[in-house]
Amino acid sequence: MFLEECKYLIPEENGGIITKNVDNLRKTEGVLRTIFNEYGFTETLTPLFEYVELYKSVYKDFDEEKVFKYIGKDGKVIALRWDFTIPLARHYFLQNTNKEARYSYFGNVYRKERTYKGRNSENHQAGLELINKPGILGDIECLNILQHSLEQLRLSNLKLELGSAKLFYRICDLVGDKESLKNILFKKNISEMEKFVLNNNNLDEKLKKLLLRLPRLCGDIEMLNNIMNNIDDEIILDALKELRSIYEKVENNRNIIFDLSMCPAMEYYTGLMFKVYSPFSPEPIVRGGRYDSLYKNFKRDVPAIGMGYYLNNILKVIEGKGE
Amino acid sequence: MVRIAITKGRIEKDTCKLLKMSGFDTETIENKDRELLIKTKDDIEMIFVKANDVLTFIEHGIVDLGIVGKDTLDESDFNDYDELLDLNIGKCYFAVASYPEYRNKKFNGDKKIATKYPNIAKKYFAKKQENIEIIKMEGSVELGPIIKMTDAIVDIVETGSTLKANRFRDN
Repeated sequence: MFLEECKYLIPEENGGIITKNVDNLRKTEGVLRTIFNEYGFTETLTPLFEYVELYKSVYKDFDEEKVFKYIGKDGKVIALRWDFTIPLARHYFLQNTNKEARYSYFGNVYRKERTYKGRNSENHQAGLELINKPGILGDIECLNILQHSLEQLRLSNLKLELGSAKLFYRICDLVGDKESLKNILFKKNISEMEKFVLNNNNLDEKLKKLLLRLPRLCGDIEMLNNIMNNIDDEIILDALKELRSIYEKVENNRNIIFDLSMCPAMEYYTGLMFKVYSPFSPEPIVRGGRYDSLYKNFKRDVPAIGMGYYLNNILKVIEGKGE
Repeated sequence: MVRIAITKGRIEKDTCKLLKMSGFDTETIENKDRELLIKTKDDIEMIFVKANDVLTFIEHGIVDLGIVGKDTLDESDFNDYDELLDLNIGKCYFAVASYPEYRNKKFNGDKKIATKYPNIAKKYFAKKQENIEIIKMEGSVELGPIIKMTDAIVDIVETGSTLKANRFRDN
């Protein structure tokens, strides 16, 4: 019976891109490829098969349950490509160089998603890694490429949201309880934050005030400027100044907003973090950030910034707009 | 315009009170018949759905806000949402409940538990280093021990009157 039905059914994991949206997918990839090339990025294609251990060695809380895996010929566990960032970090390490490097990629990543929720486990991605260009210069190059590409893709009403891992880790240091704080900020939980501040009565009064406001500190450059007037802590102030100066130096900043409670999705983020949102997709269509400590896993100290375009979400936006 | 998904029933009524207290128009909500989508004078669109569907609508970006119980959030494996504010309505607690004998009973194998919340139940017993067999039910889980299908239930308790009516004790 099932054999017969199987002829017509597609497993839940499928990527959902078959005919009508292939054209949009290839066009989007084409636009991005042209721009990445213009900016001097070398296109790469990392293997589809990687040792699970590669990811586990880098991601502290790597959720193995989300990985498609099998036992390889050598008896070791092999994962279907989970991301491009780690394999490209390894590639750079194997080049044994200290030069700047610019890599771009186009391909699928595989992450198990829950069933019957309209989510695919096969996701088309494009992205780039800008390696060994430190600090704000690297950040601005990356954001300029991003803004340029968004213009070319002609997606309207986008918001580019900036956050700072530096800010997050400094507040964690001041508070001392990183796990609780992360859980609260990750959910922007105003009620839990109030409880947290009540339970940590020994904290500095100004810090308490900031903590209580933090879950709602989402807004434009005016919000950022206002907050900066009320901050004494030099490291926090530095992190905010960095965000402001990125805002001032990026070629186009009309769509930029800030989320000061943004939490690092990956442990390795160290500075700028960003996401691009569209009204037509519940999830960001681009995510990225600076991760100067990622390469420490390869016993090197190399600054890097990267971003990934979630093409399945971009296709949703194109369809939502009715184009 | 803001679009909100609200859990039908008790949460819906309490939310309506809160909105009224905060000066929002609730006339259309109070007078709704069986409509599923309501528009208020404050340009808020509300849809009234079952708890789990609130999460589905959030996940798909159909609504801007959802009002739903913490039990539903904890049971679901969907994690990608902001949990903004505890409204302090519909307060309940989780309980393991059964007949009074349950407490001192010796079990040969795994306990059987009837529940609507398999994830929460499993986590709770795992913390006590116990493995359990779960029978998932959708309706009155108290039936589990009554018809001797399970040893106990894991459920949310508000006033405890259902437990009392069935001579259950909350452990």
